[in-house]
Amino acid sequence: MAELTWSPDGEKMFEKLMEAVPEAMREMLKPKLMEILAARAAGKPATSDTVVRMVREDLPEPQKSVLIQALSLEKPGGKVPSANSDSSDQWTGKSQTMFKIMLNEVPEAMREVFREKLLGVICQKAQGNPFSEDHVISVVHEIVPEPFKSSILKKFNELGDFDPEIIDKTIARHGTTQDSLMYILHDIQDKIGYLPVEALSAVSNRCDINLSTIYNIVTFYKSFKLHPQGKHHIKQCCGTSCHLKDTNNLSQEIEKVVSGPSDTTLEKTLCLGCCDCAPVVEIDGRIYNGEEAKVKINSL
Amino acid sequence: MKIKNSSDLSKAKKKGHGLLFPDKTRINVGTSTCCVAKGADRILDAIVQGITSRNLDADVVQVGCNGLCHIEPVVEVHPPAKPKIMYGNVTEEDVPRILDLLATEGILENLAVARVEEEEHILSGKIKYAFYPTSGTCSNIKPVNEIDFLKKQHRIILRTAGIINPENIFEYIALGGYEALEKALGMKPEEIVHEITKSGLRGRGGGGFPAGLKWKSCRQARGNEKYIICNVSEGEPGIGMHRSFLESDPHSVLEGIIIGAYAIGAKAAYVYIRDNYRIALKRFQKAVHDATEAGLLGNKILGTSFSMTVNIKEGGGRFVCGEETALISCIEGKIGEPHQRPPFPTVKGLFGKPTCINNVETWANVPVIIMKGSSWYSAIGSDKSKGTKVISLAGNIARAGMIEVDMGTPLKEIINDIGGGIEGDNKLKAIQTGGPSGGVLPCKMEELTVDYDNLKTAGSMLGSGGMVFMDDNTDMVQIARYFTDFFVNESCGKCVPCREGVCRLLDILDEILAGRGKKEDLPLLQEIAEPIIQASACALGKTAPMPVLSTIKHFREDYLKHMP
Ligand SMILES: Cc1cc2nc3c(=O)[nH]c(=O)nc-3n(C[C@H](O)[C@H](O)[C@H](O)COP(=O)(O)O)c2cc1C
Ligand code: FES
Repeated sequence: MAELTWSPDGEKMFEKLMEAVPEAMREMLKPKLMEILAARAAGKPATSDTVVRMVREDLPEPQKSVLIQALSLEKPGGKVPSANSDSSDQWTGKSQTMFKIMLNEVPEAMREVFREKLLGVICQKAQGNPFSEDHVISVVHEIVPEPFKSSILKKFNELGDFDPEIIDKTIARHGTTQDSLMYILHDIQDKIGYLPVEALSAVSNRCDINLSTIYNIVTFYKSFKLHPQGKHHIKQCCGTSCHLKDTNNLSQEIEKVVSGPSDTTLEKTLCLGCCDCAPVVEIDGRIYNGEEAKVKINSL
Repeated sequence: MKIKNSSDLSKAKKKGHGLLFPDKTRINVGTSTCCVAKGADRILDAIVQGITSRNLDADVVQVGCNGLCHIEPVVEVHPPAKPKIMYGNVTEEDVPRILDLLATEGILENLAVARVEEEEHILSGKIKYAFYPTSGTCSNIKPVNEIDFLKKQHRIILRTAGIINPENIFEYIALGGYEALEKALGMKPEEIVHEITKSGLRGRGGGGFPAGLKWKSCRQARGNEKYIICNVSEGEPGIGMHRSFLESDPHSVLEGIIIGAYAIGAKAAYVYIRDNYRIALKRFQKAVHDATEAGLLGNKILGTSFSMTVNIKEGGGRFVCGEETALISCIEGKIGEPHQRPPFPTVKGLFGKPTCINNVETWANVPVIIMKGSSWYSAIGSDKSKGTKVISLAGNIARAGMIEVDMGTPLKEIINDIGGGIEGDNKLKAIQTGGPSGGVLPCKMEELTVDYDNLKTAGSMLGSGGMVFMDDNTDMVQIARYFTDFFVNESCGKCVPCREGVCRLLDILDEILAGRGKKEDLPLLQEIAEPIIQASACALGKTAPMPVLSTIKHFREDYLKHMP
C-alpha cells in the first residue's frame, strides 16, 4: 500500500475534517480515512481536493452531509457563495478586494478550484455574518503556505487606506458599463481626493474593463489626479484673459503659500470660465477674482 | 404640481408671477460663478442676516449673472409696484446702508447703477412698474435700457438672465417659459424642423452650420433610436459664457432640447458639461429635476404621448472634447479623440445611433424661434447670419461682461459703445475672436461687422463668441507663443502633423523670443503651418497654426522687433 504524503492544503483540509468529527470517534476514524486517502492519492501527495472527493464519494450518509456542511462545501440552503455571483453585499470593508488579491496569487489554472475552497473556509469563519477583512486575513494566516502568505499579506498592507465601500457604492449607483466610467471616476475622486491605483484596479475588476483602458482615460483627461493632493488646492488660471490681465502679481502670492507650511497643491490650468473677472484663481473648488484671491490665499 | 395642459401652465405662470412680483420687497443677488468670484456670496449672507436682524419682510433671491460682470457684485432692490433699483460694486459695508433705506423706500444714490421702470420681455410682453417722479432723488439714475452697456444690446437669449431665480421653474414659466414647448408639441415634428430651417439659425458652437439642415438629416436618418447632445464643453479659453447660460437660465436650454428631441424623434438627450462648472452643473441638475417633477420632461410630457429623458455628463477637462466626435467618445466613456467624418454624427453618432449635437446657445434659441416664428427671427441679424449672438468681452476692455447683439453689429460699436473702449489710457492693438482656433485681428479692422462670414473673410472666426481685447502693451509674439503652447498641450496626439508640427512652431517661437530669431524663421513658420493645416484630421489641428499665421500677417513688426 502506498505511503500517504500531503500537499499543504490537503493536510489542512484533512485537519479540518478531523476537527469536524466528534472527538470521541476521532482516534478511531483517523487511520481508516487515511487509508482511503492513500488509496485515492496513489503515491502522489494528497491535496485538499482528494480529501473533498473522499468525503463526497466514500463516506456513508449521514456523516457525509454533516462533514460537507462542516467544511462549508455547501451552504445548508444551497450552493457555496461565489465571488463571481455579484452578491457583493456579503462582503464588507476591503474584504472582497483582499479576497481577489489572495486568489490572484494562485496559479491561474487552479484559481477556480481555490475560489470555491477559500470561500468555503471564509464562509465557515463568518458563521452567517457578512465577510469581513479579519476573516480573510485569518484565512491567509491559517491556510496559505509560504511564500504566498507573506506576499499576500504584504499586498494587503499596500491596500489604499480609503474605504472600498466608496467604490462599491459608486459602481452600484452608476452601473458597470463603460459609459458610466467617467461618472464613477469623478465620484471616486470627489470622495477620496485622487484616484489611488487600488481604486482603479477595483473599478477595473468590478466593471470588467482593462486596467490599461482605465489608465488611458485617467491620464488623458486632465481633471483626474493619480496622486494625493494637498489639503488646499489652488488652480491658477492661465487662460487668455487671465494671461493678459497679468497674474504675475498673484503668482507671487501663490508661490509664497505653496512653498510655505500650509499643505497646498498648485495646478496651472486653462481658462476657468470666468474670464470677464480675470485674473482668477480657484481655491478649494471656489473661484476668486484677483483681489478676493489675495485675501483668501493669505488666509490659507 | 404636474402640468398636463395649457390651463395648468397658466396656473404655474400665475404662481411664478407671484414669486417674481411679491407683495413685499424682493432683493435679487447675482450668484453666478463670476459674481461669487467677486464676493457675492458674502454680500448675500450680509443681506440675509441684515434682514433678519432688522425684522424686515423681504424676499432675498439668488439670480444668475446679468452680464454686467464689470460691476459685480450686483444687487437689485425691488419694492412692490415700484421701480427696481440696480446697485453695482456692492461691498459688505454698503449692505446695512441699503437695508436701512428699505423701510422708507429710499435709494442709495451713489451706488445705484440704473432704475428699471419697465421690462420688455420677448415672450411675455412688457411689464411696467410705477415711475419715480422724474425730479428728486431718482432723476440722475439712468433707466436701465439707457445705460451704455445695455443700450445697444438686443437680449433674446439673455432675456431672463439676472432677472429670474434660475433654480425656480415657476419664475421661468412666468416669463413665457415652456409655452414654446406646449406649442411645439401641438405641431408636427417636420413643421418644427421646417421652422428652424426657415429661421436661418446657425450653430453657435463655432462652425455656424445651419441647425435646420442638421436636424433634418438626423430626423431622416435610419433607426428608431436617436440621441440629442447639448455641447457645454467650452474648452476655448477666454470665454466662460456657456457656463453662464446654464447658471442664469438653465430652463431655456432644457426647453430647447426637449423641443429638439421631439422634432428629431429622439428619446434621450445628453448634456455634456465641462468638469469644473460646479454651479452650472448644480443648477442644470435642478432644472432637469424640476421639469421632470412638473411633467415637462420624462413620461408623457405635457400630457401628450411624447416621452424623453435628459442625462448630464461631466467632462474631463480637455479642449478637444468640445469637438463633436471626440465628445461622443467621451460620453461613451472612452478617451476623447476625434474621429474621421463621414460618417457624420447625424447618421452614426452616440452609441452608433443618429445623433444631433448642438451648442448650448443654439438650443437656447429654439424656444424663441418656435414662439415668435421663423420670420420674426430671420428679420434679425445680417444677410447670412440670423438672430443675435451672445459675446463675451474680456481682456483689456473697460466693461467686461457678457453681451448680446444682433448679428452684423459693427465691431466698433461693440468695443466702444458697449465695452467702453480699452481700459486705462491705452489703445486697442488687437482683437482675438473665436478662441485659439480663431485669429488675431488688428485694430484697423474695427469697421468689420460681426457675423460668421465676415470674420472668416477677415481671417478669423466667430467661434463660440468670445472676444479678447489686447491693448498696445501686448507683444503679439508672446500671444502667438501662448496659443501655440495651448495647442501643444491640448493636441490629443492622434495625428502626427498636429502633435509634432505644433511643437516645432513652439520651438521656433521660443528661439525668436530668446532673441535668436532669424529672418528666415517667418517663412519657415508659414511653411510648417501648411502641412499641419492640410493633414490634421480634426479642426483642432487644422486651426492650430492660426495664431502664428495671423500674427505674422498682421503684426510682422512685433516679430522683427525680437530679431537682432
Ligand atoms: C477643437 C474643437 C473644439 C470645439 N469646442 C467646442 C465647444 O467647446 N463648444 C461647442 O459648442 N462646440 C465646440 N466645437 C464645435 C463642435 O465640434 C460642434 O461643431 C458643435 O458643438 C456643433 O454645434 P452647433 O452646430 O450648434 O454649433 C469644437 C470644435 C473643435 C474642432
Ligand atoms: S481666461 Fe482665466 S477664466 Fe478664462
